[in-house]
Amino acid sequence: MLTNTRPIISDQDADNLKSFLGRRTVMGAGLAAGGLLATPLSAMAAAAPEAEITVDQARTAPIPIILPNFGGGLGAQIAEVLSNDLTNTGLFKVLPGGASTGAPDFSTAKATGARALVTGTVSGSGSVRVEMRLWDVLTQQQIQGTAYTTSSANWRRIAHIVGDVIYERMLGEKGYFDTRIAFISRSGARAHQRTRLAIMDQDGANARMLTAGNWLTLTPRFSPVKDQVAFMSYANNRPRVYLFDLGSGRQQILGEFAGISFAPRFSPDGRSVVLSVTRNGGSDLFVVDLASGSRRQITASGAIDTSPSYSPDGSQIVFNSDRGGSPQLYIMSASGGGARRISYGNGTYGSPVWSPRGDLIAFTRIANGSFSLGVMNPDGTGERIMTEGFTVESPSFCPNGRVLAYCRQTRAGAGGAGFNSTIGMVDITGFNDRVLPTPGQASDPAWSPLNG
Amino acid sequence: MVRPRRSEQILLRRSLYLSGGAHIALLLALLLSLPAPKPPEEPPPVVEMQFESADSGGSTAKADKPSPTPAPAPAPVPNDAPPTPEPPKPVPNEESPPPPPPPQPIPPPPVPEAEKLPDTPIPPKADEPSLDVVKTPPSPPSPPKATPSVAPPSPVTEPTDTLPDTPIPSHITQPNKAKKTQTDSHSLLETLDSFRSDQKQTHAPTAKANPVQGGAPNGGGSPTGDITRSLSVGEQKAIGGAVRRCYTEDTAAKNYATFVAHLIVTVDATGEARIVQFAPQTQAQMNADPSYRALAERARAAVLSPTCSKLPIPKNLLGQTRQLKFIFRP
Repeated sequence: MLTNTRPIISDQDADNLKSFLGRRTVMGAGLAAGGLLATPLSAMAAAAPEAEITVDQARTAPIPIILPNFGGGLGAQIAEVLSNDLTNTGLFKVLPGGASTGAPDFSTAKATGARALVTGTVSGSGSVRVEMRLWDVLTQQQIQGTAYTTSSANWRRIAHIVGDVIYERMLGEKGYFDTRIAFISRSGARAHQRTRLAIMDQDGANARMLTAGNWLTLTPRFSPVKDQVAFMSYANNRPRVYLFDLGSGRQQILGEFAGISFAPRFSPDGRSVVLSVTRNGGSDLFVVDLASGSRRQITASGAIDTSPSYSPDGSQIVFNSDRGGSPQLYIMSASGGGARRISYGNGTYGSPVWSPRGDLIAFTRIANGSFSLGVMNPDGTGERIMTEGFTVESPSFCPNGRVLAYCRQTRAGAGGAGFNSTIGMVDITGFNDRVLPTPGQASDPAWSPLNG
Repeated sequence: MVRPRRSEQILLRRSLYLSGGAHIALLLALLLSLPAPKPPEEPPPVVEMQFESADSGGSTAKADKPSPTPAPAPAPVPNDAPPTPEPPKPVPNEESPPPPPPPQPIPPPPVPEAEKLPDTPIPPKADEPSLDVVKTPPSPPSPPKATPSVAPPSPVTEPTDTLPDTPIPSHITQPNKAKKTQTDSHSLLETLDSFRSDQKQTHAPTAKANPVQGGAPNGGGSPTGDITRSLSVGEQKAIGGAVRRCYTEDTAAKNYATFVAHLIVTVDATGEARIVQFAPQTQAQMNADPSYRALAERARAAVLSPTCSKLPIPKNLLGQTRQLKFIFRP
């Protein structure tokens, strides 16, 4: 029974509640709530349906591709080289397995999430025949098929060519697996390093030395049309640009200059070379015609103009100049004339290289005591950094302009200890930065043209 | 607060008991006297043949075959109801189905036995068959069997028609001669009238008429089965989001920033994407440019990939093959 009849709320609160919940206010609130509930939701939504469903914001992901072992033996070796090539691009994800011959099992392939599938065989011993078919798993159709015959010693090259075919069909751009990289092989102590001109496949295989290494050798560059490498050598204590013919092994001097000539680069048609020549505390750019040997000076700023690089169409040259006070990048017409500055970031810029695709210029930048390697658009916008380090330099584009090879050197401690010089590769998106295995230490990579 | 007086306490207690008791009693009464569940409503006028021979007097039922024959005869639906087509009722005896429009020649067939009823001119015959035909579904146009004993197939009159003065002979065949006949008898007709008024439809039928058959020219859907426009914005975004999960592209490709591809995707009845076609301008660009082709093929792979091919199509649009239009952007 109620013994305590104290009210639950105080009289003051009761009065407040009474006024608050008066009839009129409750009615008004109810009407408002009812009106809100009655509003159809569609009135709040805005748009009308469109004619097409939009799908955007794609993300980057590697293409899953199934690779068989091509029947074992030599086929397995080819499959391994091919698999490494595709995986090292960062754009493919190789799923080993699948049958090498016969019609592919698309339902299993689809279940693994693969988008493409390769079948193929290798037959013969002295002269091998390699067959390859590329299938699209989702549409269940063959999209490419090639066959090659070569000597069995050349099997690596076939693997690279097959990889190029797959790359081109799946990505729409020419592949770069069948290329080589010329570089400087370094050995010995840091203070007196032995430098030799060397060449290897782009995956690091088949490395061989081209010069004896008696003299300091620097900056090799591939000719775009011939099997030749231009480089700078201090042979006989005269630093000059030489031309090395890879077929014959012959070397010849490229033009006689009064000063030191260095930093050579071929023009896209391979008929001339642009290089720097020192002159009284500065350096100027010269173009040398390879057939006739005639030369033409294209800059005369009085400053240090160096590291020239042609655009892919041969109409412009990007180079490094300190005419503005600090080393920066400039673009001018290939015949000389007014130069326009394009680098405006923090630090000093150097060693520009124009991409074979024409859409990017790679450079090195020195700021705050360290190096960084980056790319920018030819008008100077869109600068982004790919990699950084104590020293990262000498960028070189692969033939389709998707990958940059560069040299990375670590700081040398006392007496040169801890010094390491390696060649690295990075995708132009900044991903997939990896080291290329070389015999000994290496620097100054130069990528050959396709099929070079 | 002040403690309440004892008299008031007693009063309070008593009224509490009373109130509680009253409430409990009320509850019990309600529970115990729950009305029986109501029987379902009577269906609209059921044909109930109640032969009250005593009322009508006269040998009404003797001349016909008993029971249901007059009623299930295709009585035309009264005009005031929406035109629900009547299912053709099974005719229990060998009478012929209602005649198709040209039964006019039928009237003249001879009436051998029914001599007693021959002088009915049957004037309303002309319109009756047509009315009959309109109301019933297209009956099989079997020629009216020339029944041997043929009463000229005349349906019973509708309630809207005026009653003919003369008794209209039923079109039920009568192999046997009527044993007892009575001329000028209205009783049968009156009985039938009363039955008919019983079964007159009082409510509109609740079922809807069948939709227009045969596919109206502007009937719903598009010639290609493209349902993109019949989706709401939210549904379109849901489908786009489902495909986006698998949409990967080579973002470093040459012309990726300006990439646009138009796809037409065919989905099956369960909403799974099965076939992808490219719009003509996309296909032409694919044929011309290998890098564009690679980008467009990735768009196709996004829709067909097993993870994302099951599209969230709203349930009301499932059940048949449909097409959807997609546009892929970077």
